[in-house]
Amino acid sequence: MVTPPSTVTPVPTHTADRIVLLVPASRPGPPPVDRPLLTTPPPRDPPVPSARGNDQVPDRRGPEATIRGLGWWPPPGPLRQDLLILLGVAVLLSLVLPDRSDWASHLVAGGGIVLAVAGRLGPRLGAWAATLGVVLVLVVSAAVDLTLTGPFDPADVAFTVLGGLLVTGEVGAATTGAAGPAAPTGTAVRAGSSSGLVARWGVALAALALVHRYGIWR
Amino acid sequence: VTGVRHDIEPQAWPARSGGPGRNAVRVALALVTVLLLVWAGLRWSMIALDVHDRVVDVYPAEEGPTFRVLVLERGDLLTVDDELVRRMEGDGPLPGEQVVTRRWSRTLSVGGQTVSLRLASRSWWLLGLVAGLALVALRRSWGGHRDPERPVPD
Repeated sequence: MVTPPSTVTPVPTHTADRIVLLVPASRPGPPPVDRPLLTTPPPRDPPVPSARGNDQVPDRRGPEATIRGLGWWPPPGPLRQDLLILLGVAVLLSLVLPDRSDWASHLVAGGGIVLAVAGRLGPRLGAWAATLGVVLVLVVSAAVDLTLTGPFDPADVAFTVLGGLLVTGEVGAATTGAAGPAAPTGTAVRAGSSSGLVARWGVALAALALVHRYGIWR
Repeated sequence: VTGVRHDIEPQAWPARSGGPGRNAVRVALALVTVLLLVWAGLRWSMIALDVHDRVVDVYPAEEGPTFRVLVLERGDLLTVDDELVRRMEGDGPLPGEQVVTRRWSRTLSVGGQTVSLRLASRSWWLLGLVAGLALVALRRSWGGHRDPERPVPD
């Protein structure tokens, strides 16, 4: 039922020290509400069909977000370049020297040790960590070849050191060490991998090289 | 988050410290790598070996078909170039023959015959490969700054 607009004029009345407007009880207003008020939501876009099926939520994050979501694969930057070059050279060596696949193992082991050292010491020593890592690789590989895995072959040591030289071990210590709320923004953050990720990749590569050299792939 | 930050404090980038000294160390390490391979080639060609012994046995090396192992009477095992062994076997099988050579000599005496010693062609090829890869490694790490988007603090 529609209530006609009221024509009654409010009458001012003096009570004590203020004026009160008396409004007739029949004044129109919003209809009584007997259920909670709800805000009308904005219109929503219809769901986009997903290539993975009707029951799946479409992924709108893009390919880069997908790669970042892998966790173990480094973002674009020095570590990814190091890995691609080291593994690429190892594959090349295996192809051109199929009878000396152990040299590819030495190469990967050297790179892995340097990455592990750079990952552990990079935040403290900067780029010197990788260089000192290569020196460590030279000493350790010569000692191991002379004592444990002999007979001594200088070529084994040469390929191990070469693997260490091929990785720069640029951890980007500042980008990762300050990855908390005070971390720098922009390219600085995007350029680096965490020192922990670098160290983990180094250990994994060294273990892979050992398995390849002395394990089931030989 | 976009763009390149140019207002980051220089001390936030320790990778730039010690550039010249670090480059010198890496050059030295690259030279050591090449020299180690030269040394290996000289051993495989027996130029860097001092041998006065009789050959007991010869068999293919586990390192592949381009190497062979000489077993000497005193128990030494020498991994040498297959190319050299074929030259030494010119007049007959090696087992039982006396081998004499001095370190850094360019000739070797086996059974009274003289054989010239030289780096095998594969050793030269390997040397070129390793030297090239060492140059690539030095180029990658030279100055410790490779990312063109990264700010240069100094």
